[in-house]
Amino acid sequence: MKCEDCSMRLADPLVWADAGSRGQLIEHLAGCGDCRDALSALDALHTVRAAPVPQPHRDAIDRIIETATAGRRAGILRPNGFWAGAAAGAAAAGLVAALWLTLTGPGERPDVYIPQVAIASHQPGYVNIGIESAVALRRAEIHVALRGAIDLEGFEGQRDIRWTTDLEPGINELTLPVLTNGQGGGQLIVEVYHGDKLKTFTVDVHALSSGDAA
Amino acid sequence: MASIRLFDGRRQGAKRFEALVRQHYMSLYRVAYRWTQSVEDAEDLVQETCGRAWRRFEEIEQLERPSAWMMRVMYRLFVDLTRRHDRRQVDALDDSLLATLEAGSPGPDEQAEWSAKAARLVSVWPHIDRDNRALLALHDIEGYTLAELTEITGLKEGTLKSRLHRARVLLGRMLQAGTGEVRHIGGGKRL
Repeated sequence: MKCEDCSMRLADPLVWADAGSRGQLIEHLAGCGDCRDALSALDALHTVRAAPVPQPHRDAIDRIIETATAGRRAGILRPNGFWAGAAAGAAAAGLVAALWLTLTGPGERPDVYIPQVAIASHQPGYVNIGIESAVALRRAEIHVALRGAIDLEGFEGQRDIRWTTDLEPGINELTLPVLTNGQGGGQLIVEVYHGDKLKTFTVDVHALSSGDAA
Repeated sequence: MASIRLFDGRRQGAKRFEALVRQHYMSLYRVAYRWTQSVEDAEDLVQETCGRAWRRFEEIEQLERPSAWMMRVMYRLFVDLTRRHDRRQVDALDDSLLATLEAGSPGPDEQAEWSAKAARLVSVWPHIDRDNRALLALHDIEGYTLAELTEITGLKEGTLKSRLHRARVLLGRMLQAGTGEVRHIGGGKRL
């Protein structure tokens, strides 16, 4: 019997319960100091197994969840702050694009015009999209899809972001802080669903190198 | 003009994340404690693991067993952790674990032998390499199977068997010597 196998069998109570297997183990142990050491270790480890683990601090789990979710960049869980902040930032940074779209019913002609925006690498450029609705729409679903080498600040690595929101009558502005990595940019696709209505809007995003900016 | 907020959508994700963490928290904490032998360090380890889980939440939410992903991340965090706190852990370890062991002891008749055995383990435990400590705690204390260890560590079953055996032999020798100074086993190979 190889020592590794003996060691694994030593840890298995079912093996010890079988007379034949037990005999093989004892025979091996009689001639193997390493496995006797392993048995001694297992005995101590099994003693600890019986010991209870002390309880964590009572508020630890809440703190862990809060810290984990708040730790994400750009305040992903900051209540009501992130998008409002992004919109305010847009005014300071200058709007990259302001696009307006109106929800249409099924079968209506989709938009074919694809606007282009250029964003400097590694700092967010704000793409503003206006969604116009004649009436209040409760629980409209918004889907933002990212293609190519772009990210949304605060959502790095996520290619699809979905959520539901209520749209007010008139224009509802969605500000997206888009990051490029200098590798050519990508495409930003925004879909708005409500009932059987769908609106898809696509924006081509180009990465602006420092040379372009100059 | 109204502003659209994505916060509601994120809040739903956060709620699902919270449910996931609450579901697996105690099993993560329990293993982390076995590794670190410190409540605070175990909580820190779980917190770092959960932080990483949140950053990859959309991905791990699709997994059949997100707990295995989290355990794998925690294992890597533990074995890759810098060792700067190890000395402090060694110093702080004995009282903490001994108190625990005494609280869970099986009965007055077995108390002396049980405590002595536990005390010897406590004294040598921090001297075992982190990766071996992790394997021993997972397999021999917490009862994880070799298949589960393969998933967590990325090591092949044969490698795990070999490392578990060598770690046990080293631990056995340390226990007998009552010190962490025993460093070689089986023909002079180092663990």
